[in-house]
Amino acid sequence: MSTPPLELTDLTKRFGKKTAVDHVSMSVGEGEIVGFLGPNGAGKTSTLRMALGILPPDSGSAKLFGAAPGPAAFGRVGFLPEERGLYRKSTARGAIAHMARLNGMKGKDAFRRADEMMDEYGIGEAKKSKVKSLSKGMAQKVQLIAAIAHDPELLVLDEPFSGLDPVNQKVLEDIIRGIAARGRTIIFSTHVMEHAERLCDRIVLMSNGAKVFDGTVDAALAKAETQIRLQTAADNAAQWLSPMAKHMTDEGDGVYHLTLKDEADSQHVLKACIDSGAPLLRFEPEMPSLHDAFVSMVGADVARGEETTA
Amino acid sequence: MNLRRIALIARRDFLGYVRTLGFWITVLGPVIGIILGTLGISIANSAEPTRYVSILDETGRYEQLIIEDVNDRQDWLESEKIKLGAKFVMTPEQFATLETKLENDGPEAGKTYLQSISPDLAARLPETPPTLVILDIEDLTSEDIKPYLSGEKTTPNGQRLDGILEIKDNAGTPEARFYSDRPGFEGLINNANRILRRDNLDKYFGETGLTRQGYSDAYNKYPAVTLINPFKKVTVDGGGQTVTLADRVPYFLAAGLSFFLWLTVFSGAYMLLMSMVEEKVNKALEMMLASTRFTEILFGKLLGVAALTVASMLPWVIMGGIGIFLLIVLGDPAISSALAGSVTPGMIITFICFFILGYLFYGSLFMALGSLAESMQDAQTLVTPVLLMLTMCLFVVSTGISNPDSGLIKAASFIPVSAPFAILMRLPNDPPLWEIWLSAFILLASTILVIWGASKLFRHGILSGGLKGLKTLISFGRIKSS
Repeated sequence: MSTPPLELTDLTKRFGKKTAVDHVSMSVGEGEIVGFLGPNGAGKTSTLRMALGILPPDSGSAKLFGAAPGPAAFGRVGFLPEERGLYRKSTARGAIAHMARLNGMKGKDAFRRADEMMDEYGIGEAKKSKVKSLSKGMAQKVQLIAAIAHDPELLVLDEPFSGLDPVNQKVLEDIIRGIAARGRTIIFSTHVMEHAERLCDRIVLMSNGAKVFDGTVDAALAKAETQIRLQTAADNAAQWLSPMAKHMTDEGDGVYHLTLKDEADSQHVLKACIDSGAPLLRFEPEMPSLHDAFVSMVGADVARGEETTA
Repeated sequence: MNLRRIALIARRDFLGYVRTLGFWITVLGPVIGIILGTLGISIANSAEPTRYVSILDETGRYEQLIIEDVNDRQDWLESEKIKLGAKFVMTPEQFATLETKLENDGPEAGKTYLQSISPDLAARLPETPPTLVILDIEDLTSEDIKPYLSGEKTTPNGQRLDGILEIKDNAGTPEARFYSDRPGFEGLINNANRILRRDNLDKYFGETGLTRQGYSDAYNKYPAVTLINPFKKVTVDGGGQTVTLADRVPYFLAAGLSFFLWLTVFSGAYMLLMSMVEEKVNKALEMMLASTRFTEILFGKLLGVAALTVASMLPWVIMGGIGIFLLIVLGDPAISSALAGSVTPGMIITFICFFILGYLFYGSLFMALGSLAESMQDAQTLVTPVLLMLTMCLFVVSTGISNPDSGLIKAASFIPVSAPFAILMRLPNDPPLWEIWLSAFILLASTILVIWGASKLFRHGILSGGLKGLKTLISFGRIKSS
């Protein structure tokens, strides 16, 4: 079995009295795309910083390619931090080549690679433009290229989609897929669950600094509570629906939205409708989202609380 | 630490600034200043018109003396010009001959001699056109003054006069007036005053049976106290222990080097501050941290800004070098030889060591503080105490010139903030070697400590975004280093 590119064991970090990361352990295997999810303030950035050795943990350990983060991993990792930044007075190709050279590439190769990648990602016309003159989307592309120009084995992207418009978010998704197709390992954090749903082999959910889930997207979705929207002509529907519902909303005109109890499922509801003899006008089991799964794992109050404190 | 990465970071910082217009304005500032200054003086000189004056001397005693004084002045200027050029092409013996010729036979003879040694230089020496021409006008009277100055009357060759010096005899006492309507034109006033003073002194001394020359000799050639340094090497003729200006040269050199270090630290510190604030604004460092150590970034930036500082100081270094060269070639041989003797290998090594340590000490300090700042205003507030400390070190340099072995300088050489400046000031006094080593050790240890602390503050400043109250500084000890 090969050494995992990233392995975290019991990582903990406190800032004053606040525990930002609470005994987080996880492993990212070679070639995986892992989504690191959670609302703002869940501890994602601190965990990634500790994983890369930028922030020292209070306890626990991080390993990159089987060794402590540091010179041994330099050049094998690409990192796109949450806070975007490039040298404003430098040219776009210069900024990319500088990072590539820091990651071990030779001068000429670094500039050639910068040119090739800028062409490949559709910003070839901006090669000699100063970073300060680029649009936000372009600058983010330049920074992403700077992070991957040396073709790292492990790519760590912290909130790569933030600040991008939908068109550029789609472009970035395609870029990530392209990198993954070359067999590279990718871990990216986001608080927008839909990106992870579309891209990831595996997701890790964080809440209040702790890991609350680690598994496939399907496994996470299975954790979500079943929700159904139905419409019936029965006057007493609430009476016979409520025993199966954890939460029920009467939306009027006989339309009810149900969040089912763990022991109930859609078949139970359907059977109850038929047994009632009332006409069933509409029956729509809802596809759960990762956000639903997250809410069901940490509770609505916690999920809301984290987002508002972020 | 990886030297390649350090060099890459240094290179980026260096080139990042070198490509800016501001850098070139800083670098070329002194050169442009000198060119403009020289050009200005040259234009002002060439634009200075030749003035025509005449003398109306009723006493008959002073006219010729004043004309001779004017000519003497012009001869002196001409002689100095010849001597200045001759220093570059003549041997000391030839130069001594030239001086004798100038003294005895005047500038024309000097120029002829220079021509025999270096015809090329003699031909290149610029002509100095006279700025004041004294015209002799026959039958000039007091009534003619106004017409001549207004242009109503002109000299035989059609020249209007710019000024007329009138000297009347007032019962045996000369009474002089200079008439001119040219603002700021002093004409013959200085020459006339010199002659009148001399005449007055002659008259006074004549009455007492003394001579002006005798008084002058008595005044100037008194048996002055000779300052002797008994520890100086005795020369073959038994002398050599007299303390001269040449003996002060090593102290001036030490002060110059010390001040150069101070200037480098000061301007380097400003650039480091700018660089750190720029980093904070650019937010480019976090990305680099996945492939570079904190300490590599710290040293890379220090190195880059050091190169930048040296590059921006280069015009001053070159001008200083030219100045020292000219001093050696043109100056007093004793001073030149003292200057050459002051630059010993020991001094150079000590200077380089303390220069590097001093720069690292202050540079790290400024970088750490700069990394905590969010803006240039923040940075200026944060570094004010360090700047005050640095300014106080100037006192060490000034005290060192007049009193290099004072207790203050000695103590300052063991305090890290002032050690680089103080130890350089002490060097001409040959301090014990162990004191230099101790000073270097204290400075080295402090520098390591400051770099260690700076890397912590630097990491904290970069990741957290800045100084969040004193609490941050107090708790920075908890921030672990990589």
